[in-house]
Amino acid sequence: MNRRNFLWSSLYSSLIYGAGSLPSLLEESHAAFAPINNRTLINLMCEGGCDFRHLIVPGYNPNQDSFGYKYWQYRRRTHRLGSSPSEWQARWEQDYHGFTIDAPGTLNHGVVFGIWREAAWLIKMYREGKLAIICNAVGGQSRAHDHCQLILNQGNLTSGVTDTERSGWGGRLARSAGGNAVSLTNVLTPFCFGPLGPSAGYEMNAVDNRDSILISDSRNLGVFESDLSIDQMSGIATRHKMARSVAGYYASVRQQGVDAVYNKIMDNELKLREIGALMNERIDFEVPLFIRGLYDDKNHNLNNNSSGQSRRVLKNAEFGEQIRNLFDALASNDILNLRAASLVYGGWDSHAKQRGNDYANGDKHDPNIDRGIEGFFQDIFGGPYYLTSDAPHGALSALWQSLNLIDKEKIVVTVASEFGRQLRDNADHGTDHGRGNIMLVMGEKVQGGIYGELFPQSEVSKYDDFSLTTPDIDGLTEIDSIFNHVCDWVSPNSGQLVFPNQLDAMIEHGVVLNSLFEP
Amino acid sequence: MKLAKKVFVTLFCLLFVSIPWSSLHAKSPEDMELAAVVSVINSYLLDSPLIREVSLEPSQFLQGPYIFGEDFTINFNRPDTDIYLCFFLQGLRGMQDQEVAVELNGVSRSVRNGENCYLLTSGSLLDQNTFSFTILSAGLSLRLRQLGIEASRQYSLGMRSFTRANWNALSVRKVLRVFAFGGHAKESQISAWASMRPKVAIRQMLNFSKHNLRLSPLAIGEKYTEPARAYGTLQEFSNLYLGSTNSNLPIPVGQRDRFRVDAANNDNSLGDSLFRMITTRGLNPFRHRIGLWETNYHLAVNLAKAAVTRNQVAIMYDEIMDAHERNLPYQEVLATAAKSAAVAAQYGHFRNSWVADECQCNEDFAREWHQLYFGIFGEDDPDYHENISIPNTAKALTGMPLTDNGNTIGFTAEKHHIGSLTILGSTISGANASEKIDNLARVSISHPESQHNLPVMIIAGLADDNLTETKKSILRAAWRAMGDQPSFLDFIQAYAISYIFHEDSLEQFKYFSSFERAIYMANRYNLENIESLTAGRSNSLSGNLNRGYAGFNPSGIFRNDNAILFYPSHNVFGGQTSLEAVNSSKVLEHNLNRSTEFLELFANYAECQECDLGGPWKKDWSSVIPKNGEEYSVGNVAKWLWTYIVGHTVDYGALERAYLLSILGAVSDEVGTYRVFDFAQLLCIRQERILAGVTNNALSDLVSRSAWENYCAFDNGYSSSELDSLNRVFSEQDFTSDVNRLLNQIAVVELALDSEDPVLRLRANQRVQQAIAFIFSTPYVFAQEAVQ
Repeated sequence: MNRRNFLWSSLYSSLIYGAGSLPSLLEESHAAFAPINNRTLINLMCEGGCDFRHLIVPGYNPNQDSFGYKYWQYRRRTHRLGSSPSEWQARWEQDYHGFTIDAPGTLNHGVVFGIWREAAWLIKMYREGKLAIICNAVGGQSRAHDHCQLILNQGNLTSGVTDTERSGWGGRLARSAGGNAVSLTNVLTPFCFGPLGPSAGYEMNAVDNRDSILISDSRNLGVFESDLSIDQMSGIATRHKMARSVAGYYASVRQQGVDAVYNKIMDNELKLREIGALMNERIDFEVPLFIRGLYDDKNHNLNNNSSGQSRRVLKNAEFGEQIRNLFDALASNDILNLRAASLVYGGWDSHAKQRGNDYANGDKHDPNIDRGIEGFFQDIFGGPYYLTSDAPHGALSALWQSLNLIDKEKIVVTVASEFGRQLRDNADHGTDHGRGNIMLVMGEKVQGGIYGELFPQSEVSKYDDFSLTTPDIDGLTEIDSIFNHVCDWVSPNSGQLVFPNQLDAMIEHGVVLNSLFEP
Repeated sequence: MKLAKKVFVTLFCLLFVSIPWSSLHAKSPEDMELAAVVSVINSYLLDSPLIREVSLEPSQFLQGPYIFGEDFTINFNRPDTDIYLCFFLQGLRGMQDQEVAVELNGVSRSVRNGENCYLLTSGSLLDQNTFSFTILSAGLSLRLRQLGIEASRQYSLGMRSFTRANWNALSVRKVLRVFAFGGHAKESQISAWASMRPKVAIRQMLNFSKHNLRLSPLAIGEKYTEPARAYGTLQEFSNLYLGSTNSNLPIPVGQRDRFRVDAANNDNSLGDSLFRMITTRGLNPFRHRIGLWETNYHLAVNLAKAAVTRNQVAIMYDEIMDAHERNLPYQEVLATAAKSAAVAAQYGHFRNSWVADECQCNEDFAREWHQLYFGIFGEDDPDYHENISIPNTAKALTGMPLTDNGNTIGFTAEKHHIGSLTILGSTISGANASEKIDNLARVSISHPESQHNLPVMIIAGLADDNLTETKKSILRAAWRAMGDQPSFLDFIQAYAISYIFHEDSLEQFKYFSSFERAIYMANRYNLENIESLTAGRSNSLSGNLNRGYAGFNPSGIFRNDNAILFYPSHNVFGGQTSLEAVNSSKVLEHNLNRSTEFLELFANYAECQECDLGGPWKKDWSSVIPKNGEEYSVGNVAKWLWTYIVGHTVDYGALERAYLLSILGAVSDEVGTYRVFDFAQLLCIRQERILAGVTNNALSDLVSRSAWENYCAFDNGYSSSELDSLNRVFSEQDFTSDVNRLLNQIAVVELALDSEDPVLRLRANQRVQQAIAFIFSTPYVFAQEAVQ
C-alpha cells in the first residue's frame, strides 16, 4: 500500500480560516475497523412528525378521569380498538412492556407507562439505564413539516420556512469539534450543513459544506479513475483517457478558480476523489451479518419466512443501507474525522391508519406487510429481547451488536421528529399534526430516565374539551436546551457555540439536563 | 421576363390599392408580414427602394424590410422619456467608414450588421429628429428591418424588463435553459428571438400550447412527425402514441405496451412517457416544464403510495395543463388539482365524511391546501389557523368519494358538510365540496400570506436559487399587480424578460435537479425523434444488443440519482431539490462516471444497424453544426458545441478549448490505424520528442504512428516522468506560444462530418459526441450562472 498524504478539502479551507485549523492528515490507511477516536453523535431524524405517544404510552387505568383512561379512550382508533375499555386494557397488557417509575419527590413518581413490546432494543436500553426520554420537547411550533424540519435540522428556532441556506447543528458541532459531519443518506441532510467560518466565530445562518460529507453507498464509492497500467493507445483506453482528461480538467479549474456558483460541485469532486480512494482501501471487509440482514434478502437466515427462505429484516431496506454506511463510516472514522453522523427515516406523517393495513397479520417479521408506524418502530428499535426473543435485530440493535463496548462508549444517539401529534385521534385511524413530542437520547454514557413530566396532568382536561379542536402536547423544553448538552458531551464547551441561544430557550420547570451524561 | 414583370406590377398595384398606406405603420403581426411582402415585391419589381424615408411614432414598431442603396432617413419627434431606437441591419461588408455614413441630427454614429440599439435621452433630442443613412460605397444595398422606438425603461407587471438594447441570444438561451429544458429551437430561431422585442419573443417562446413549433420544430427530414400534430396530452401520448401498436414509432410493437399509463409491466410508465414528451420534437417543452413542476413539486402526489394510481395521476396532469392552456386564473388551476382523484387518494380525504354533526376526517389535505398550494401558514394568527381554518377546511373536504374506478371524484351533498364554513376569515359556501373548493380558492389566492409566499415559491422552484429580499419584494409586487385573478403565464413571461432574471448584478443563479439536468442534456444531445423516442433503449429486433443504440437516456440518470418522476422523494413536499442535487457527491459521481467509465453511451450511440424498427440509423451532427466557410473546422466546432450546451462562452477559456480540440481533432487517421489523443498525451509525446532532439513537432508529426509508437509509449508500463505528464494539471503558464501554435493547428483540422466516406463520417460524429461527453462532465451542466 503506497503511502498517501491525505489533504482534506478543508486544507484549502485553511487558506481562508487560517493554517492548522481544520485539516486531517492521514499518513497511512489500514484495512481494518479503526477504533473510534473521538466521541461521535449519531442523529436520527424521523421525518413526518413521529407519534412517540404510540410507542410510549400510559398504562391503562380504569379511572375515567385519569390520563391512563383518557389516552386509551381518545386514541383507540389509532390502535384499531373498539369502544370497549376491556379491549384497551388487553392491548396495553399484551403489547406494551410496562414500567412503574420509582422516583420519589418527582412528578413522575408512580407513573405507569409502557414501551411497545416490539421495540425491544429500546426497552433494553431503558432497562439498562442508557435511554433518556425527554418529554414535552419542542422545536418549531408551526406544525408545518418543512418549516419544523428546518428548525430541527438547523437547531435554530428563529429559522423561517425559506431559510434553507443555514447551517445544521450537526455541521456546527462538527466544525466546533474540528471534525466532519457525515450524512449516510441519499442526499446531504441539512443537519450536516456546515456554518461559514472557523470554529471560533462562525456564521450559523450561512452555509459552507467543505467539511460535510455524503456517503450514500459506502460500498460503492468514488469516481472512475484512469488506469495508467493500460496502454493509453489501446482500443480499451478511450474511457481512461477521458477519465484522465476530466480529472485533470477539474484539478486545473480548481487552481484557476471558478464562479462561486460552482463551488459546491468543485468541492464534491475533490472529496469524491480523496475519500473514495481511501475508504475503498479501508472497507475491504464483509458487511457484518446482522447489518447486511437489515437490507439484503439473501443467504443470512436471520429472518426466514415460513418456508425457510431468507428475507431481509427491515421494511425500509434503504434505512438498513444507511446503517451499513454508518458502520463503515465508524470503521473509517479516522479517515473521515467523523464527529456527527446523520440518518433519516421518513414516512411518519400518520394522518390515516397509523397501524397500517396489516396490523393483524400473524407474521410480524414479514418486511413487506404494512404495519404503519409500528413497522417503522420495529425497524429502528426491534431486537431479540424480552418478550420478542424470536425477533431479528432491528437497525440500532444490529449496529450495537456489531460494535465493541469501547467504541459504543464513544457514541451518543439522538432520535427526534419535527413535531408530535395531536392528543385525540381522527376518524381515519390516524392523528393530525401537533407540536410537543418526546425526544430520545441514548448511549452507553447516557444517564437514562424520564426527563420532564411524562404524561402531563394538564393534558387530561384537553381530551374532553372539544372547544379545543386540535389539542396537542405542550412544548415546554426547546431543542436548544436538550441538544446543547449532547454537544458538550461530544465536544466539551461546544454547546454554547452550536446553540448560542440556549440560555433563552425554554426548559420545563424542574427539568435538569446537566446530568444527561455520566460525569 | 417583361411579361412576368407586368403581371407582378399589376398584382402589386392591386395589393397596393387594397392595402391602406397606414399598413406600413401597422402594428399587428399579420399586417406587418403583409407589409414585408409588399416591400420585397416592391424592391424586386422596381429595382430601387420605394421608401426612402420613414416616420416613427413613440413605441411604434415597423417590421420592414427597408432595402436601400441610396439615402434613407428615419424621422421621429422628441419623446417624453428616454428611448431606444433599434433596428436590425444587414449588408455591411466590414468597413463601415467607407460604406455608409450614419448620423443622428447631423452627429455621426456607428452602425454594424445585426442588431443596433441607440439610447437617446429625451433631453438630448430635438423636437424633430432625423436618423440618416448616406451610402458611400457604390452598389451597396442595405436591408433594414424591425425598426422601432421603445422606452428605455420598460416594465411588465411592474418588473423592469430587458429591452431590445440588452436582450440578445444569451438572454434567449438562458430563458430556454431554465424554462424549457433548453428547448429544440434552431439557431436561426434563437437569433430571430434575440432581435425581437422581448415582450414579443417571450410570448412565442413560453406558452402552453400543446405544440410550439418555434420552440420545438421537427428536424429536417424527420421521420416521426406525428407529435407535431397530435398527442399533446400525457394520456394521449402514452396510450394513443407510445403505447399503440398502430403508431409510427421506432419502438418494436411488442415493447410498446410498457408505455401505456396503466402498463402492468412498468411502474414508471408515466415518467417514461413524460420525459419523452419533453424531449420529442413537435410538442412543447415549456408546457411540460411547468407540468413536471406542478405534479412533482408544487402539487405533488406520490405513486409510491398504494392508493394513488397512474391513471389518476395522468388525469390530474392533463387537467392541470388544460387549465394552464386556457390561462385560467391560477387559483382555478390549483382548484383543478385539488379536485382530482389523485390528490384525494394521496391524502385520503375521499374518506372524509360529515356524519351526525361530526367530521369523520383527517386534516392532511386541509392543512396542505393552505400551505403547499397557496403558501398560507397562518402566521398572523396560528391559533385561528390551527383551530378554525384547518379543521373547517377538513369539513369542506367531505362528500368526495372516488368514482369511475377511482379515476374521478363524485362530489355529492351526501355526507358533505353543506352549511357554510368560516375559513381564513371568510364564509365559504357551496352545495358540495367542489363548490366549496372553488370558493375557497378565490379567498386563498387573495390572502396576504399567499400573495407574500406563492410568487416566491414559484420562482424559487423554477428559476432562482438565490432569491434575495429585494428580488422577493419585486416578485410579490408583480403578483399583486395581477389582482385576484393572477395569470401564471403572464407572471412567468414577465419574469422571464425581467432584470431580476437576466441582469448579472442581481445574481440570479439556478442549480439543476437531476430531472432538469438530465432532460436538458437529452435535449442538447438528441437531434431527431428517433433518439428521444428510443431514449437509448435497445430496439434490436434481432435481439443482438451489439447492433447499436440511439438517443440519450435521462431515466438512467434519474434512477442512479434516486430521483424518479412521479415518485417524489419528499412525498407531497416534492421531488429531489436542485440544492440536494448540487450538494450530492453521489449525483456528481454518477455524472462523471457516465462520461468516463460509460463513455460508450456516447460513442456507441452515433449509429445503429437496426434500432430504427429494424432499420439502420446514423447520427448527423452536420445537420445542426454550422460550417466555417466550406468546412467544419475543429476550432469552430469546439466553440459551437460549448455554446450549444453551456449557453455562453464565459467559461470557455484556453483550458476548455485545449481539451475539446484534442478530443475532436487530435487524431491519427493513417491507413489501418485510428487513434485519438487527449491533450496531456499529445504534450507528453511532444515533450519526449523535444528531449530527444526532434525538432519537427507539428500536429501531423505528433499524431504519426512513428511518434506515438516511440514517444510516451507504453512499454510494459509508463515511466514515472511519463506518468507525471499524462496526469498533468495544466495552468495558464502551460499555454506557451508553442502549445498555442499546436492547438491552432488542431483548430484548423477539418472534421469530416459530411464526408462521403461513411467510416470517416461516423468517426467524426462519434468524436463530437465524445466532446459532448466531456462538456457534460464539467460543472457547467449542474448550474446556470448569471452572465450578463
